Amino acid sequence: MTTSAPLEVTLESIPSAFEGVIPAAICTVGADGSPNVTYLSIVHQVDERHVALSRQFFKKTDENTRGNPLAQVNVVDVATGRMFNLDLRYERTETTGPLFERMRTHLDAIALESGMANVFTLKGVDICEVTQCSLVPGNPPISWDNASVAGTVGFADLEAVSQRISRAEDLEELLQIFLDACRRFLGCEHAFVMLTDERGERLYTVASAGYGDAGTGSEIPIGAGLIGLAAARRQSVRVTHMARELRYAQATRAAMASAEDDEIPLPALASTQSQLVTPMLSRHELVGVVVLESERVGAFQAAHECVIGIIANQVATAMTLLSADGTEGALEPSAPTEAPGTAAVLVKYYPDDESVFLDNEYLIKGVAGGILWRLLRHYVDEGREEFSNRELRLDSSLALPDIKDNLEARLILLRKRLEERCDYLRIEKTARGRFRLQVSRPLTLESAEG
Amino acid sequence: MPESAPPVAPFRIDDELKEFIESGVAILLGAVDAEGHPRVAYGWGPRVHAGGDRLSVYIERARSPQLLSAGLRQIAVTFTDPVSVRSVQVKGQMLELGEPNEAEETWIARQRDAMTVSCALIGDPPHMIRNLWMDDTIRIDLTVERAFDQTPGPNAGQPLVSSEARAGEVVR
Repeated sequence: MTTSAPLEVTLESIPSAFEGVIPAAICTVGADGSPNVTYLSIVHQVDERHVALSRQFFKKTDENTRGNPLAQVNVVDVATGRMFNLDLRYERTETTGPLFERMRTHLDAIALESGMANVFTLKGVDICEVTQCSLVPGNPPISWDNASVAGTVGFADLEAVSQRISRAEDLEELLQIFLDACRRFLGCEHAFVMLTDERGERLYTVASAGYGDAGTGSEIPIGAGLIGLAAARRQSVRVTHMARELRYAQATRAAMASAEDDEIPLPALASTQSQLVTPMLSRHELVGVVVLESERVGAFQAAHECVIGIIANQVATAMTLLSADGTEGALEPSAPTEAPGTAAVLVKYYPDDESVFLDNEYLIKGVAGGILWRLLRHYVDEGREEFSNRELRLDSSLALPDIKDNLEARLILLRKRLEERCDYLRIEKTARGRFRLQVSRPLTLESAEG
Repeated sequence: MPESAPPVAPFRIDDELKEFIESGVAILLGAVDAEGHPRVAYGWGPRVHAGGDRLSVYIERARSPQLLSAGLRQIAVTFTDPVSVRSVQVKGQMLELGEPNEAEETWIARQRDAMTVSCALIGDPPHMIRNLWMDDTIRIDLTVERAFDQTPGPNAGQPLVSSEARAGEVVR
């Protein structure tokens, strides 16, 4: 029951105070009347009169709120530097439900990212009534114009992106619209899209912005690390101060397994401080995730998470529709592309994992590797350079599953990897559903199976 | 609820903990007003006095009206290193309030600078940290009675035992 007086400051007016960029402080009262003061990792605004506090390690705080329901929390609005005191009255603890799951995923993701699974066990989420929210007197010494952080997105902008998405002709255009929207709406210069593989077990990077050529084709298992967990739980994870959160988890990135030689590292900034991972869902199916990164603390706020969530799901739905549309455009004539007189390239193929090496340099593996091998076989054996998506779909040796057709994404990935790794193999789109293999050096094909 | 039994021996801050407390850590103060409302504020420039049984810490007069009007009796002070996240809570009784002299203000400034450097190490923009404090401070002197490990993890909330007591008789 809420009978308290109106709040001096409404919770809706200070959203950036709940971003956790500066950790919140909480004071409770023990059974002996003594104060207990500590930091809180998450203060989440539930509605106009309630906040939720994460209950992890605060044994004393937990005991205190059971005995005495009163608490005071201090939060800092990083956009302005102002501080607010929230007087709270404990109401109940939730151990299930969307809010609990959201907070649990956040803590689990941070723990996983620091190589410490099962350390942060979220015991519950304490829902507290805010009986008063008041501005702590005293002006911040430094006026900090943080407009770039707190930018808002207008409905007209959102609609414009929505229309571009609905008009996208193919996956590549769709992903470009998506990454452009991340940059325009959030000022985010570093973002990448990972799609779910054919078996629904891994994510692979298919498009990126702001990382140069790095990272295309990188893979992670669904469930691994912060990104993998967001995908597995189909929940956004937003980190506003990565270094602090990882420190909090007593981070030891070195403890994570080192990458294998033929693994491509994920796109990454030198010092990521803010990260937003948002699942892309279509008909409850995980299509992929979009990952946004910034080296600035507090770069992504709750409103940004909502906007990206809306766009991500629309992109996912559009992807599903594009996959279902199997029409193909008219074929353009082609000319032989191989330049005479240059040294042959050794293309080696390992059927076990469908990996392809060019002159003993790893290029790609998995479905994209299998596709490339078949294209090259057709090229060498029959002199063919023109191909259609349809024939690849029907190629039973590629074992593309019927349920989730990632062919177009795999072709994008393959094209980008070729552009990154060599200058003599290219895949060029010639019409809707059709492409050309361009080879400018002689090839010697060798399969490890003999 | 009956009053909990006092500890067998009051906690004493040893040299190692004194060094930690005075190393430019982040500080929170907690108190309870006459109506039983908890009050929280940021603290600055802690100093551990000889013998480890008394402590001074400074709060901002302008920013701490609730805490200052709380009729300070019992006080909790939590010290946290921003980098290692090591955290210790000390509890004691209010002794008196005092005006800091010039030497104390220099001491506070040095500790604030050290904390800003620690925060910068984990990526906090210095201007964001600078906004956490104001210049007009007041000193709170308090006794040291109990201390607790407050570092996040399964041991959070465990009482600390004085090194003196550990070296001699077992406490509890």
